[in-house]
Amino acid sequence: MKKTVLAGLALALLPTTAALAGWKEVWPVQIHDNNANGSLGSTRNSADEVSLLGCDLTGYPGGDHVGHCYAQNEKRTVSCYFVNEPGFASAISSMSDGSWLWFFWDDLGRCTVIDVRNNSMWEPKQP
Amino acid sequence: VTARGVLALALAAGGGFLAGLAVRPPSPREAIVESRLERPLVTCTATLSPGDVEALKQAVVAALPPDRRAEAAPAPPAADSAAAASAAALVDEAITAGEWTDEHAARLRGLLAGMRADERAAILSTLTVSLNDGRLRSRARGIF
Repeated sequence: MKKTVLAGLALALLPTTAALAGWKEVWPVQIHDNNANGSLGSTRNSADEVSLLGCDLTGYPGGDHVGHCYAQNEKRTVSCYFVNEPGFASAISSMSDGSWLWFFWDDLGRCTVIDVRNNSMWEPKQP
Repeated sequence: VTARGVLALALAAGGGFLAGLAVRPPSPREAIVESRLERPLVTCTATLSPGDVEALKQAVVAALPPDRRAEAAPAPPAADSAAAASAAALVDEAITAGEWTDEHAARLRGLLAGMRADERAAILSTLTVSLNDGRLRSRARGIF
């Protein structure tokens, strides 16, 4: 009887155990020549107190807006900006705590691509 | 009429016909063919620079009667707003110091609200390029 109860209990726990084995990525901020990327959660969870990654969007009366994305590690800070670009504004608006971000800039500092990924592999921010 | 006389008349008539062909004007069809053949086979690829276009515009406006010049002249660009001038000074100051701080970011946020879209783009380009090429290091929480 005791064995049966234990077996049932083990079966009941199986889904929980399986859920712990999903695909997980740790991806702190990375900066390259004309682009930067990383997971917001992994960047926040970095051991240093310098790593930073994100995008901000500011709206003005009449529908105008400006936005920028930025990445920082111990060596440098990089950024790209846009003014009145609804596509970029929409991409930024889709970001969440668990997003992975990749942005590119041109010689004038303008954003050329803002890529936001939202899926389960990216680690959440820790307190 | 001798055979020699007939031959002379025939030669005279033939010569006159050939002479007429040589001096007659070309028919319209021949003129078109000739015109096409004379058209150059290489097309001109020269372009006007913005300076050339501007000089051309000025020449056209100058050639107009005085009472028409005002309506043909392009509107002068809008003067920079006071906020744009302050923002430019702020960014210059930060570049000189080599550091972008929370205080810079807060001041720029306030100034951007009073600027036109083209002014915002210009100042953000200066700031962003300075960060990206390493002349400016950010100590701010975000850029602006």
